[in-house]
Amino acid sequence: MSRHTNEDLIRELAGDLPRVTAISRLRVAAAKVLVLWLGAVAVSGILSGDHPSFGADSSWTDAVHLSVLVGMAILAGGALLTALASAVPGRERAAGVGRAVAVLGVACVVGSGLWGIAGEQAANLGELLAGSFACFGYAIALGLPSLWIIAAFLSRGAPASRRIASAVAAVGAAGLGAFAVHAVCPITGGYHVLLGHCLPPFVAAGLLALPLAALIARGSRAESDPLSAH
Amino acid sequence: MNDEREARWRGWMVAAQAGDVPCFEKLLRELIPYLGRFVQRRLFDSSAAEDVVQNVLVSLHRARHTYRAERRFIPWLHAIARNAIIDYTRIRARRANREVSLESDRVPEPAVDAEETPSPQLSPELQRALASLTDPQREAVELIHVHGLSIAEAAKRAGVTGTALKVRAHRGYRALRAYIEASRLEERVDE
Repeated sequence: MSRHTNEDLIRELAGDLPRVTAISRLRVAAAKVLVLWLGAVAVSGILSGDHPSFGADSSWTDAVHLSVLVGMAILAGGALLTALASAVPGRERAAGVGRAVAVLGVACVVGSGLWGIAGEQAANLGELLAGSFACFGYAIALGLPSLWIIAAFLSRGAPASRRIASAVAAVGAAGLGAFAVHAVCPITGGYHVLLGHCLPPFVAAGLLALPLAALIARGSRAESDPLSAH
Repeated sequence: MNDEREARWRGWMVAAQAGDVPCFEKLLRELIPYLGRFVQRRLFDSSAAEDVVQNVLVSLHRARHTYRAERRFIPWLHAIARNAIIDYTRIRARRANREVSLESDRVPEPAVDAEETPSPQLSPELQRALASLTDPQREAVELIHVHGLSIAEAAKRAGVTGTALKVRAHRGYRALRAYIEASRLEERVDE
């Protein structure tokens, strides 16, 4: 390719150079996600009357309960950082730190969940699923507002892989939801905690990664390609 | 030396974000040889390196809002370049797989002719918007979106490089959007 072609390209690109606003800082985006999550938790708490008992019941002295809670916080925080950092070129180190933290969180959540069912008699599967369904749904629903903010940030940014970023975003958002649910849910049964509290982030990643990636792609394309919206 | 270059490129990039065309042109001209070396070290294919460098320039233009002035410019540039190299390698591998499977199947590929491909029905609004584009922009948008050709096929048909075709299409999309938004605004005013 000749130098002339490079010059043509430079002229073409420079001929279309509207002013742009720089993408927001990662900490600002993370703060928006957390504020929206707190808002969703507050609204849900007001509507349902559920709130954390903070030591008023025995679950707050239970090692399994606390380790699931801590693990979920680590998982959600790590996944959130990974997803947001993956939208910004040059923030690979932050994304790497987020990944390491998220992996630690996964180990902690899965380990604690399995620790919780160790030695526990499994109830009837149908009853177990029915009993855990509400917590499972709540965890994902409470993460949806945060997921919306992360998706908006990803579609404005330039993630190397939209599918991976979407899956990680879903883990982070549902992790935030699961953290809130685990903090207020009075049921401490090991199988209920595993299915209703520990599982939602991973199922959310499986269910939401592809539709979210498509949404993000559509959002990114809408910036430069109006035909895609027709 | 490196700090001086970093500061110069960062300054030009910030100016480009504010719409300063001369600074953007200076930045791209200085980046081409630098990116050429960066890409060649990772790709080991000098013929492809120039194409990848052009893709990096297009990506840099599209993703310029993801750069923040308080951060270093060169790591941001390297991330954009690495993504372009990964994209190129992925596309090349996919193309190689397709060629191997065609070779083994011995199935004659039907000739794709954009002139003969039936065009999907476009809304009158889109037809008017397309008519408002320059000839090269309309050709790029039609080949990709109306006739559904790949970038490589469309570029071959238009007689330009894939990167040049993508730039034309990108500018065409912007013009289309401006046209459609303006015509909708007019409709609202008329109502």
